[in-house]
Amino acid sequence: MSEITLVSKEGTKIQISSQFSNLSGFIHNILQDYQQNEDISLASVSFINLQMILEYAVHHNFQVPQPPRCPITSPNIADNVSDPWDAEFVNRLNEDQIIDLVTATNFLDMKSLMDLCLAKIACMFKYKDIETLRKEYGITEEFTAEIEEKLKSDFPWAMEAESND
Amino acid sequence: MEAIIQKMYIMTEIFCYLPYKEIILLRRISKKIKKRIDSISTWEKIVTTSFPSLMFIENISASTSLAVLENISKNKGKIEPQTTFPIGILGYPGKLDVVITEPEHLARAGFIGSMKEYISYRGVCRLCPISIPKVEMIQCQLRLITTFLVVADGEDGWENKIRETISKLEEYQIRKIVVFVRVNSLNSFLKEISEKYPVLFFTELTTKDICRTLKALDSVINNDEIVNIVPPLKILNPPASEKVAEKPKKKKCMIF
Repeated sequence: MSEITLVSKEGTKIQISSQFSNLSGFIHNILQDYQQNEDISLASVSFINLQMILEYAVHHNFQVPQPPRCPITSPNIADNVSDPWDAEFVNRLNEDQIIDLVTATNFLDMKSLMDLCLAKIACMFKYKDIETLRKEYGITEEFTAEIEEKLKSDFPWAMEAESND
Repeated sequence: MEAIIQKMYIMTEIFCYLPYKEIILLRRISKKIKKRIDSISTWEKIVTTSFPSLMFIENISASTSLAVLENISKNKGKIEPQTTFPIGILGYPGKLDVVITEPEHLARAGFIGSMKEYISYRGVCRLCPISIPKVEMIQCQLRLITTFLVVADGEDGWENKIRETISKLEEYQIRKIVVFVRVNSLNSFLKEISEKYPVLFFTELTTKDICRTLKALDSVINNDEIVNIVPPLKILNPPASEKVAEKPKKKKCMIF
């Protein structure tokens, strides 16, 4: 199996199976005109992120895994993915790391891992009311009472669902 | 935490993973997020501009839907001239780019009945995929047309789900049904269904396809005799399409 050399933005080189192109649209496109032993520079991907990305790729044997449930049905990511490893993988990351990983996977056009991260972020919002979210995210009241009323009246059925909860 | 809120502004894909109602509620978090969510209306504008014959409403309340469904039931399917109807788009798991319109409205009306297993506690279909174009789709679904579009993809058991849905619709004397399914070819089940109702099927479905389909659907609604509508979509099964052309009045199977 041929290998390719990826270079992180710090200049660190990592060798990986060319099968990685199964998961990354960016790498897939690069390999169309790839010269043997040529380094592939990933200017937007840090070494730490690249390691995580490759860990994910190796775990899934370079095959696109089952996507997370969409929309998510539970605030627990483990309930929304078919492979428990995916949940463990994303649960060990803090929020900043997840955001960085989303950015990196976006650069690599690596939809499967990006979806996993996005589903994890969505889990953080799931079933939380507005006040809780504002408190958690340190958002001070931005809307006037008038606008707040309008927001409620814009979609009364959505508010109705909220009160049913 | 702040990073997520900041990034959420640009990472619209996050919304893919939340039901529409929760996305609507998120508008109240901050001006920035509201602005982002509110900007997801381009497709709605395209559709309403392109298809002026399809009236558009902001939303349909649960009580209105219930009243409409009761009205259908009481009138045994007869459509009162002044009565407006939502399109009922019933989605199923998979990659299909369509979601349920207002499922909890239908559920409250007892309309979905045995389909309750697909409804989350919020009344939103927990299996329907929602993404940004899909969110736009939801808005587009809320239009005043009289046909129920039964949607499925090729997942296991989809035939039974379609059969069950059609059966429910028939119980309510609703006869204007279009089956919309993502499969590679017509199978015996679809052939059977197509004897009674128009069947549209695709191998791939994009927002543009939906847009075109709605145009086709509009024609179905406004023309009982229409049997062969070919909007500019990929013709995936030419032989079957030719059959439609040969016997236009019998076949109601539209293949794009």
